[in-house]
Amino acid sequence: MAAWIVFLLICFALSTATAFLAAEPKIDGPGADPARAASSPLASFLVVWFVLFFSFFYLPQFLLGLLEQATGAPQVFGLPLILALLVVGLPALLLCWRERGNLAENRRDLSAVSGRASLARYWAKQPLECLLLALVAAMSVYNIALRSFGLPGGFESQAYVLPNSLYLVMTGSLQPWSDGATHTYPANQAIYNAVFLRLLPEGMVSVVNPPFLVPLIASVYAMARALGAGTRASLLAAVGIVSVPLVGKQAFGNYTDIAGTAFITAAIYLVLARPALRISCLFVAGLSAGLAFGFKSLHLVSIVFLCAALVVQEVFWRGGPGTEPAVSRIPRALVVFGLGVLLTSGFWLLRNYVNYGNPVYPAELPLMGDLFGWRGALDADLTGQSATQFNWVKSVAGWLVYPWVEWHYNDQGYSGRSGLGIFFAALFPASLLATGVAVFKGAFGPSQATADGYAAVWPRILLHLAGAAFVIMAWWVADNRQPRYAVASMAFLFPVFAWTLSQLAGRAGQVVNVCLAVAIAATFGLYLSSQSIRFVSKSVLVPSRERHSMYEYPQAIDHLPAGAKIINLTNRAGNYKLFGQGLSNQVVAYVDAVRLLAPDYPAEKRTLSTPTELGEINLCRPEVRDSGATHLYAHGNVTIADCDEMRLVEVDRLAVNKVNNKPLPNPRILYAIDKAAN
Amino acid sequence: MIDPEDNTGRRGALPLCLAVVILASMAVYLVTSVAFWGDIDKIITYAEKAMKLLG
Repeated sequence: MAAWIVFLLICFALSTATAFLAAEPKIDGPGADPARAASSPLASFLVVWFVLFFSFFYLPQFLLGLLEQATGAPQVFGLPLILALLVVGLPALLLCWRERGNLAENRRDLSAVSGRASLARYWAKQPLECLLLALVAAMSVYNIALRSFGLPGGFESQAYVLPNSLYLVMTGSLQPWSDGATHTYPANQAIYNAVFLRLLPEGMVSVVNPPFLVPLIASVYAMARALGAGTRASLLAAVGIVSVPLVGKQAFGNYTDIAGTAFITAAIYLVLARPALRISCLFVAGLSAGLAFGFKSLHLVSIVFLCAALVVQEVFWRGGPGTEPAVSRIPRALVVFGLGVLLTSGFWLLRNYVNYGNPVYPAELPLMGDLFGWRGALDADLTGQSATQFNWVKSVAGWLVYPWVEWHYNDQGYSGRSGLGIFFAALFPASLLATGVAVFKGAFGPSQATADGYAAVWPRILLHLAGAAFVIMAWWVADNRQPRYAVASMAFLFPVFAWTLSQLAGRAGQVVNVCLAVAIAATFGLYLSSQSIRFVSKSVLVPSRERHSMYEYPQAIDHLPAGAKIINLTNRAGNYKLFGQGLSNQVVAYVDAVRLLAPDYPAEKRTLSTPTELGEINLCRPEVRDSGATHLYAHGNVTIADCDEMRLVEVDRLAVNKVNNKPLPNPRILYAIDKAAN
Repeated sequence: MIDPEDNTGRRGALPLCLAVVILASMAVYLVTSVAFWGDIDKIITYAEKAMKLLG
């Protein structure tokens, strides 16, 4: 544990020093650049700090993961990790030492901007918006406090993220815990959660999400300011993005998407706004985009768009007298950005290429699959993905009036994390109108348009809208229209919303601001209520706070001897709980259990199967014996054929719902596998 | 020239037009959104259940 604390402290020190060195130059006083009057040094510092901290956090682990890939021996343990961090951090350390004079000066500049007096002045200028920001901070603390009393929940967490984390904690390996499709995704979230599992009580792993709101909010704010939006409008949009249920419920719930959303938003900010950092902005953007890919590989879509955006920027906006021609600037920009992306995502690409012959496994890229033979996972059944959209709309045409007409309810199964919310609904049509006016006047209007500031801003706004459209259309064409997959479109749109709000004036503007603030606060009220109710129902109104009681499984699972290995034949979400009270049991994942016990069941249906659909389930197979499994966990409605060589002996069962004392329709049964029986 | 600091915005019909569109869009959402009211409905139901259980 001590080694891990030292590791985190070194990450903190390295990222803080490097972020100070990278900080945006002074924005006022003699020598300041008047063109950068709308820069936001504190926001950009926070974004860069987060990207650098997590880069220093992951890169040493990836380095050891590569060693494991080459040698086959797991490597990610405390002391080797510190040594790897020193290797990875050495260039940053040398840079900070060489530039220590500048580092100290930058730190003083930034302290002046972020000092108490400066922040108080800032609060006094926009009290309503700052109050909303404080509300987000208070909600985060409240969320962390409530969750620390409970146990980890959420489907993805329990099905594969936390099992991958525990596998890493137990073995020091960055290889997937199981070869089932969902277990083989890039696993940044699992590595992050593993730190909490190592250092804190199990319940605290539920509190991992709110910190990622900091880079998310800071990125949207800084992007909005770079588009020329006012401070009030920028703050409103930055807080407003948290009021999008798709984003907010991820941050305050058990989901696993918010970190990826935050890092792709940071990458979008660093590419589209190009803050004047003292280190390469595009390199940091690349690091951030690679981190986003490692959390959710679906952000590859946004990375492709950012590459195209770089080309557009270099061709149309970044040239000028005395600069190199675009043909030499474009490759350099792409290489610097791509280098950053590869540094923080290369390990996952290489691992999956070596293991499965496809760097983006278990996904399959269009064209690439045929061109390079990169095939997706056999057990990832995508035939039903088109139907998932009908959780949100009743027909395909319904998307035209979404989110004004939608029919899902809060926490209704899979769609609980969805929804675009009232802020989006309020601003989206107005932003299209404002953009239309800006394009019309900026591109075709008389010279007065230039004085209005449209001429400079309309191409940048169009680039933001193009980014949102690209992400949405990519998932549309892929026939997978769940809003959460296109969440990066929010990062492109919200700065435009802020710019739209800045076009308002006088009393009308004030009325709109107040209405939006009330809408945001009301949405936060909904989050707070549902969190509190969930806490009461899951953590207070429970017959017992013991793990087996809260997760509702037979108590014997918590008291199995060392080395026990349980085959999970219930469902995918059951994977995590079977690790038991001490998180020391070994578990055979549900998809692997299906492969072991029902080998004739079609591979492409394994992931979404239920045990009652499997047909003949046969324990007496050499593969089961070789798996080393000692126990099997199943529901009572499943019939399992055993034999003289391998017999199932019931160890414990949970037959009654402990909350209402009614019999369970299907008791939950733990069996021992008696291999010695004859 | 817009002053991004004081957020005074533009003159003419555009600001008023945008304000009307924003407020109208918000009002339509509040009338038609099943999700928003569904959230509130669900929370009230949960709260009632919790109150009963707490006695």
